[in-house]
Amino acid sequence: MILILGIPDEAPVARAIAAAEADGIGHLVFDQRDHLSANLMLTLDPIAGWRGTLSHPKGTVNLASVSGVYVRLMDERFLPDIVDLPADAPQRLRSARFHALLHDWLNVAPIRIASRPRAMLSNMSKTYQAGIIRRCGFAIPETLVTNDPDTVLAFVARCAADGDDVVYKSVSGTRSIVQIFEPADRERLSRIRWCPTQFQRKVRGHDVRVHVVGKQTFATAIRSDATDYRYARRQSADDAELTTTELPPATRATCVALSGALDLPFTGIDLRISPSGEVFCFEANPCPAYSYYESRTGAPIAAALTRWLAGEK
Amino acid sequence: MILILADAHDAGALWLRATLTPLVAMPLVVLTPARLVYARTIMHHMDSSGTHSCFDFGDGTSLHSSSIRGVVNRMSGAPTDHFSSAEPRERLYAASELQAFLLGWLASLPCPLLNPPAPESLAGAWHTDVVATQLAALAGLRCRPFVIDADDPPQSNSTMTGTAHFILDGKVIGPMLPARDRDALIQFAHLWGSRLVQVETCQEEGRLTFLGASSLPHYQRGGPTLVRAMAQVFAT
Repeated sequence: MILILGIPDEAPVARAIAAAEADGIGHLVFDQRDHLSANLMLTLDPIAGWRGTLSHPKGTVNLASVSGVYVRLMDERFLPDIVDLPADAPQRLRSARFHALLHDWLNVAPIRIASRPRAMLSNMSKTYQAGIIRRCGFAIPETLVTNDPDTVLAFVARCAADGDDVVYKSVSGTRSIVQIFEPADRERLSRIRWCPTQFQRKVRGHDVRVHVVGKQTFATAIRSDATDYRYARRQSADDAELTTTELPPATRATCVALSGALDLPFTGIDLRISPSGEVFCFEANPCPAYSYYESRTGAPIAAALTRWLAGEK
Repeated sequence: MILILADAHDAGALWLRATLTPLVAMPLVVLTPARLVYARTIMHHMDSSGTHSCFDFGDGTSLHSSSIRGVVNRMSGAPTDHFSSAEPRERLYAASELQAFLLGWLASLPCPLLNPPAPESLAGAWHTDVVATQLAALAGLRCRPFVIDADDPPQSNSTMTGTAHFILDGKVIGPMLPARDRDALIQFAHLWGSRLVQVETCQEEGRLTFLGASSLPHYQRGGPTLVRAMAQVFAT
């Protein structure tokens, strides 16, 4: 049996549930909104490690019967029934303890997990992850992180001399909209004195999102005039156009290697293929919202995910 | 130079500097997270061919990544006092940006680090008691039985003191142990994920029993043997 953790009507979770049902894969859905009435009990077995049960309003699950877990949990601090409570409210503290224990089990359970909470943390720093991406064999964009406006202007001038724009975006995992550095940005550049900020030479080429599931890859080509295709309507008035595509075996193998290096058996890798064919990698998303890609291309990502969790090679 | 990244009041770091200095043939400098974060200019550049970084400080000195030959990393956090007047949302964003930058910078240094940073902690791999106990059981150490749930959280093991062993690059430093226990400690350190780990154990039911572990060792308890082993890491 596989366990699906999240909000059941959120698109990636809903698609995973539908895929499991379509394939007849035994599954149990834990609705995260039941967090206050749920409990996890763990007992340390000297040989087998942690064993236990997950109790929730619909029943109790013996964790030993679970072969795989799809983890699509939201930050519990923002769950609707506790988001407005004070930080020391008993419900908040109890929810934090439950989620911490759930994460502990997910981090050590000797079964297939997509993906373990600890492994998902690599995305908290894009420059940290970029080092791993580079070691796996992908090119990475020229990147500057600095608190010095003059260094930024010199970088912008150097890229401009090559005919390239510069973009800026968050270093951390906090979602930000990738923006081109425009002349008007010079006026507020002094604000970076407060905190080092990330600037990148814009890589020319076309975007490809690769979802890795175990050893399988699903590549989606993206056509968009926007700097950040996720916000295509806002940045270019037109929606991005997504189609399935085939990648060379070497690129697919590097994607799988990166997924392994990051311990993320289910990941969404953002690539850009330059006009010369060089493959740049921006990041690997640890908990990809694959439904956006699957709904536009028909790539069977959810089916691959649930089959992998059920033990398919 | 060798850096000891630590807070100014970190007595363990100051003791280590005094003890390690005669054993290494290069300057040993204690650098606080505040000095790093409040550097006049910070520059971190990376591309497909490599990474280099530079901090220029207010007193006219600089720190280039190429001049760092080793790091004792005890940086568990970064100062964020300078964000205190920002709105809560911006303050949180800036703090996470700073943490992300420091993680990327530390991880990019091409020299030996004791310990390399990890996403969950700048000071190196860190695990909860539940996870640490699982790793200990997997490594073959005896663990005390216990039951936990969300309404009955366990007492933290991390402050328990027993017998300390230090595992550095697969070598065990501390009181003599049978080969089986020594191998279990080496395996535990491997699973833990840091180059240098302090493990606390006691003898129960005739077996070496796991109490807790840390990537931030208490160097004084390791004594000269530990410090010599650390010096060897920086000499290679």
